Amino acid sequence: MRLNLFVLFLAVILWIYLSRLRNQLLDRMILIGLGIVSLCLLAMPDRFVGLVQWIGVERTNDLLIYIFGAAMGLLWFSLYTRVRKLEEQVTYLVRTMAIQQAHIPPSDESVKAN
Amino acid sequence: MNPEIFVIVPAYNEEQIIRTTLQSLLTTSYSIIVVDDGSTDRTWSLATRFPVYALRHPLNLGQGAALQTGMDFALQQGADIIVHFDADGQHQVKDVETMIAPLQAGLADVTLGSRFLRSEDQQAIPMLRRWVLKGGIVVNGLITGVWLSDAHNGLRALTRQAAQKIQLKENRYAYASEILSQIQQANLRYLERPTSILYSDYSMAKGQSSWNAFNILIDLLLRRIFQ
Repeated sequence: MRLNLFVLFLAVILWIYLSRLRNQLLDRMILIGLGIVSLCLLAMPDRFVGLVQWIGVERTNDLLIYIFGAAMGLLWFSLYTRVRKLEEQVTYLVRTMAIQQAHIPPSDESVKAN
Repeated sequence: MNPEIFVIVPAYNEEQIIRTTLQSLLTTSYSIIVVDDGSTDRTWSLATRFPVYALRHPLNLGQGAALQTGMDFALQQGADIIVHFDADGQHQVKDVETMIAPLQAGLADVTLGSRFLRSEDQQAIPMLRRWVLKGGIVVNGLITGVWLSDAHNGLRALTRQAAQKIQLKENRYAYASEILSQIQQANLRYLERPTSILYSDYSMAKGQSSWNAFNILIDLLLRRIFQ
């Protein structure tokens, strides 16, 4: 039950973050934070048994898997948004070039020349 | 050339059909804009032999991007009405007038073609495509809030005011749903008009695969999350 609440809480935070607060600095800080937590869990699993069980996960390894999943998701979202942004920039560039170099039909060219 | 009505023809590797499509459009008095979306065949050289405006994307971006390029250019040229018309020979020139008439009469800001308003048009749709389109109608309705009788029909017409409010960001086929969202958000008045689609071996091979519906759905959902 507690695990469900924990997952729900994380999902809500993730949703708010993805929809409103996203920026590159925060992305990196969260990824580094998740990495540090994972390393601590790996290096000193016994120390975190109490915390892990309070969250509702049986073993430290299980929590690591959940953290890995969340980190991969965040990384994917981060890369996806960056690719979208690049695509928008390329589109703008391509569109501007296409319009500037438009082939005008002869009759219109003569009208413009006049 | 009629300076007010512009027909935009997005084209990607259409060397086999582009001449026929342009010849049929040139029987009218509309101004024609061909947007070559980075074709690797002779589409560009063939298009520039006709008395049409021809724009070329140096890269292939997708039909949505080509249409937005054409609309930006048409607006710059002073278009009053803009028509989207596929290059693959599926659309009929006679239907363009049907699309434009309600706009000229002030009955709507946008007209959208539909293959499902006349039984003979419906019968002409291959069975699998028909079912995919039915699914697309439901998905479109749920995602955009615009419930139409057809999904992803490429024939549509917009007034200048409507075109100025539309800014397509979906470069690929998902633009056809995105445009409905924008019509809804901008409170534009829209009407559906019957159109007959000519399904040939060429157009079926060139057109989007029914399986592409899955890609479109994913694109739409991701856009929803990240908008």
